[in-house]
Amino acid sequence: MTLRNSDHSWGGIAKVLHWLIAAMILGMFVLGWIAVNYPMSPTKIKLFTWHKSFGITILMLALLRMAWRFLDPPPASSAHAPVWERQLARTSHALLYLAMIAMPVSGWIINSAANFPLKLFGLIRLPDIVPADKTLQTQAEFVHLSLFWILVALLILHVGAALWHHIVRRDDILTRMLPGTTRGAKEPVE
Amino acid sequence: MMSAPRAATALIFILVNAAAAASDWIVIKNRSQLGFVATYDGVGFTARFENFDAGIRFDPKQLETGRFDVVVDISSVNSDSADRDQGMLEPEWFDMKQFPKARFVSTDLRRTGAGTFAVAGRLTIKNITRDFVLPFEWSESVTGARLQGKADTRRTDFEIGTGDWKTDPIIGFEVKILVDLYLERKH
Ligand code: HEM
Ligand code: HEM
Repeated sequence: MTLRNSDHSWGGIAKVLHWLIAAMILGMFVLGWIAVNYPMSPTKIKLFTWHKSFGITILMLALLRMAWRFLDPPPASSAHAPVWERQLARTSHALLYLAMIAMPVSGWIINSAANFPLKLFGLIRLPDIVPADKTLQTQAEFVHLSLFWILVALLILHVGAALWHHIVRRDDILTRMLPGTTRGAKEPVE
Repeated sequence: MMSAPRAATALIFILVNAAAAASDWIVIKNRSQLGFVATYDGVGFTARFENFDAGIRFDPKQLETGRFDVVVDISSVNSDSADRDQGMLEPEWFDMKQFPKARFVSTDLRRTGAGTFAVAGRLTIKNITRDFVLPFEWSESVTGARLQGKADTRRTDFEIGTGDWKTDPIIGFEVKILVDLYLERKH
C-alpha cells in the first residue's frame, strides 16, 4: 500500500485518516450521549473530559486530513457516474468535512461559554475561545445537538452510498477506501 | 466665639465620639470581594459571594475591642459559570435550601507583624462549626481602610461534596478563602 493516493485508489495516509476519524466519530456519538445522560457525579465529569479530549483530537486530525487532501489529489471519481451523482458525492463529502470541524468547534464553544476548563487528556490546558456567557452556551448546545443529527443523516447517506456502489453498482468505490487494496478490483483495464 | 469651657466640652465630645466610632467599619460592596479559589479537574476557579453582611469593629491600636461577624448569603455565589453556580447549591455541595447562610464570628484578634494581623474565630458552613484563623493585612488611610486576607481550608471539613465527591479529587479538596474588603468609617 502506498502512502499517497493513486489515480484510482486512496493511499495509506488518506485511508488511515478516514477510518480513524470515522471510528472516533462513531465512538463520540456514544460517549456524548452517555455523558449527557449520566447522573451528576465525578464519573460524569470524567466522561466529559474524555469526550472533550477525543473531540479536540478529531478536530486536529480533521484539519490534518484536509491539509493532506489539498497536498495529495484524490483518485478520479467513477468515470461512468452521471453528473448529479458526482455532484451529490462532492457536496456530501464537503458537508462531512464541515461537520468534522463544526462539531468539535461548537463543543469547544459550549465549554468556553460555560466557563469550564478544557484540559486535553488531563495534560494540556487549552484556552477558552469565547467569554463566559449562558445565552451563548445554550445556543452552542443547540448547534452541537443539531450538528449531531445532521451528521447522522449525512452518514446514513454516506454509508448507504458506499454500500450501493459495492452491492448494486459493483464498482470499486468502497474497496478503494478499504485497507489493503491498492488497485480497484473492478477498475476497467485501460 | 465659644467660651473656654464650652469649647472644651465640645472637644471632649468629639474625641469620645471619635474613639467609639473609630473602630466600626462599613464594607464598600462594589469594590469588596469575599470568596474562594477551588479547583475543577485540576484547574483553579474563583468564586465570589455577591451578598454578605460584615460587621467589622477593628482598631489596630485596640485589638481587644475588635470583633468580626460576617454572614454570607450562599445563594449569591458567582464563579462566572451559570451551571457550576447552580451545581454548588445542590444538596451534595452547599445545600443552600437547608443551609442558606454561612457565618464567621471572631473570638480573638492578634497582631502578627507590621500591618499584619490574624483573626481567630468560629466558621459555620452547613451547620458545621470549626475553628478558623484568617491572617490578614490591614492598611488604613484618612478616608478608609482595606483588609486583605487568605486562608486555606478543606471543603470536606464542612461536608461540602458528599457521596462520591467526598473521596474523588476531581473537585479539589483544598480551598483557599479570599477576603478583600474596602471599608469606610461608620458615622
Ligand atoms: C467530532 C466531535 C464531537 C462529536 C461527534 C460530539 C458529539 C456529541 C454528542 C452526540 C453529544 C450528546 C448530544 C447533545 O446533547 O448535544 C454531545 C454533547 C456534548 N459535547 Fe460533544 N461532540 C464532539 C466534540 C466535542 C468537543 C470538542 C467538546 C468540548 C470541547 C464537546 C462538548 C460537549 C458538551 C459540553 C456536550 C453536552 C451538551 C449539552 O449538555 O447539551 N463535544 N457531543
Ligand atoms: C462507517 C462507515 C463509513 C463507510 C463505509 C465509509 C466509506 C467511504 C468511502 C468508500 C469513501 C470513498 C469515496 C470515494 O472514493 O469517492 C469515503 C469517503 C469519505 N468519507 Fe467515509 N465512510 C464511513 C464513515 C465516514 C465518517 C464517519 C466520516 C466523517 C464524518 C466520513 C467522511 C468521509 C469523507 C469526507 C470522504 C470523502 C473523502 C474525500 O473525497 O476527500 N466517512 N467514505
